[in-house]
Amino acid sequence: MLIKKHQYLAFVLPAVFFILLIIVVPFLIGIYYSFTDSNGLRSSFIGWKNFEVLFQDSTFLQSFWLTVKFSFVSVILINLVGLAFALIVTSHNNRLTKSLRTIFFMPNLIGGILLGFIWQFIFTSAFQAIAAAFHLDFFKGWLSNPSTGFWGIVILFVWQMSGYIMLIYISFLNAIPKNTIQAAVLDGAKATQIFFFIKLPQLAPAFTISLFLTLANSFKLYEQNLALTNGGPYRSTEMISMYIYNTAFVNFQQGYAQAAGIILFLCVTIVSFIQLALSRKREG
Amino acid sequence: MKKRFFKIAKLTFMLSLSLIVLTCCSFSSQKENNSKITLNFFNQKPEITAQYQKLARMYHAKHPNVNIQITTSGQGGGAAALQAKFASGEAPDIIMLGGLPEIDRYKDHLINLKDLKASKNIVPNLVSGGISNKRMVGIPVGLEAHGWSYNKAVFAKAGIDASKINNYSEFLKAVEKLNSEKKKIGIDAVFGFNGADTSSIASVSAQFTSLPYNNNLVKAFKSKTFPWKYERQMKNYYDLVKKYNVQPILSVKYDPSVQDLFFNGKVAMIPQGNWIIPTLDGLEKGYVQKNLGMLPFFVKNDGTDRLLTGSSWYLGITKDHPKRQKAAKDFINWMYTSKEAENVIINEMRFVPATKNFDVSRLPDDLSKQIYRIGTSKNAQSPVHKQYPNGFTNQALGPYIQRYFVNGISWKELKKETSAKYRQLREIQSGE
Repeated sequence: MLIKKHQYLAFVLPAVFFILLIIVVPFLIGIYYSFTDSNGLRSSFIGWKNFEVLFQDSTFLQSFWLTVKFSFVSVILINLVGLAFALIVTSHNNRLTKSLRTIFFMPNLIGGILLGFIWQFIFTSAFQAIAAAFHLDFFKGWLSNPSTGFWGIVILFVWQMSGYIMLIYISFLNAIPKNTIQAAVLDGAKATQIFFFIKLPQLAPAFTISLFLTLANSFKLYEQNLALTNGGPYRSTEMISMYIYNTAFVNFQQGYAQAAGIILFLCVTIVSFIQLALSRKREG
Repeated sequence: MKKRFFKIAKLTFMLSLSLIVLTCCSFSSQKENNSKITLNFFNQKPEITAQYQKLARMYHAKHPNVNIQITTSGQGGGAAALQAKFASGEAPDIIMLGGLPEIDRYKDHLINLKDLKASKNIVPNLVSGGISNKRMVGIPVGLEAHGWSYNKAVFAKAGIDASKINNYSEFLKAVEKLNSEKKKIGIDAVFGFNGADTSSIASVSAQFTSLPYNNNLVKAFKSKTFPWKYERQMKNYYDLVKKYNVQPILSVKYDPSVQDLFFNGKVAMIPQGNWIIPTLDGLEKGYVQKNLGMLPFFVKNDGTDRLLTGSSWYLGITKDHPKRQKAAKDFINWMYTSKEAENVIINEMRFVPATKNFDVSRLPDDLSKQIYRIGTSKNAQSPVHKQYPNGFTNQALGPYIQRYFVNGISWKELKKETSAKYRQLREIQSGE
């Protein structure tokens, strides 16, 4: 018994050691720095002042609100598109659906920075060419306008994440017992009825995971933002992570940026907990 | 009990092994022979890395026991990369710093360069840009000029004589003439200003914010307010750009603006400095001598307006590695006083030297000669955009002026917001 216990420790301790060293300790130091006026090299304790200023900082509130809007839109879209992809590729089992699986998942294999540059090319050069060829103003200057810039990032992010979320839905769809569906078919249920009354309720755990993943990821979005718009035009598409980075490494107000980071952390934690609690309840 | 000991021993062994593996890489690079010295030079101008490497090789050939390792990081990431170097305890020996806010951040690490042979020779106007707490901690990299870079061929086609443009109304007339003959002379628009880049917006803004400080960059750095003294002329110029620029103005970026629009004569003017010389001559040998001219902004509009001349970058030496200080000083002295180094700087970097009593005839083109004469004259004015608070350019001034360009904000709001942000950033940052 004793040996077993220590064996357990031997396996766990190295991991715990590194988690402490790499995550927990910096996190605690970070909390301390949010109460200082650190510029990265020197710092002194200033209490709650950073937080007070933060809630009056219009740029911070603006980018925070933008991030909330972005997360809301992209969580819904990613899950819808991801689920649709999953339904398409599980509807039949042939060569087409198998290759579609790969194709839908492919964007997820490319890094965010590269994706950003690819879509930047699409939005500026390709869209511009379409606009010129068909005289469609709709395709003009997508990234130089705040609202289309926002949708540009949404499109990019949905395109990247949907394939990944699709995988989760596929695994849960495949796990649905065939006999329940067969029974429903025998009872004369239509395809829509099967989807809404048989498949959807059994997908509840999948929703929990997918919503959690997309929510956390969209709040933390940075590199796609950087590569696609870099906050432009005139900082109108600057999301919270980018705001934090710029405050820390362009303005060199690192204590202040750290305070914003703590706020972001709290928000992501609270929202994720609420979401988990709600969807767990529905799972039950 | 024995088993337990064995396990813990094994565990400790594994842990220490991994730590050794992790640290040994950094150890091996720090191993240094007493006679041999490796200087770390942190460069923030990527476009001249190759020339600095050449200088390093030349110096190494003369002083075989001094190696110069050049680290380059620029284009917005330089300041953060430099800070990371200091935070990790690997402070470079020679650092390139952009403006007093950055110098101020590292002031505790920088040594006084007053007695350096190189510093005695610096053009007096530029000295204040490297002063912190009354110590001279930075020496300018070169003399840069900013104004309207114009394409001589385009001006000639429109029949405009640039030497006859001596005040704002004459400038305006020339712009209108260029615009009315757009088709005939084959330009897309008069101006090719790259509205996408906040750093270029800042350089232009300096035309209107520098005069009140009269070359006292320390005063500019300490100022708690944004100077609006020449706002009327500022607005005039911005409105002019707004009206006659390639559109959409916020989509025009630096590289296309210089290498395509300006180089190919699709625009008549861009508001840039002599830092575009190497790019233009790189595209076509002799282009600068033939085609590039510069006009000042007419801000005072009383005949005394000249191109702004200053230095965006300063070199400093750190005291983190006392053993290497002397070698760093020797290298800087060599760079600023030896003829061979100067030749690389003026002919390959295409810099105008920031040193007094330089023989102008050695400079490779007429524009550089003109810049040296203006920069060393009594009327010389240094731009102050590098003294704005950290982040002011990218986070406040740039975005607000971009908004103004697309009519997203009125001039009055722009003034109010810019002033407020300036004060806020300055107050936070001057705390230390």
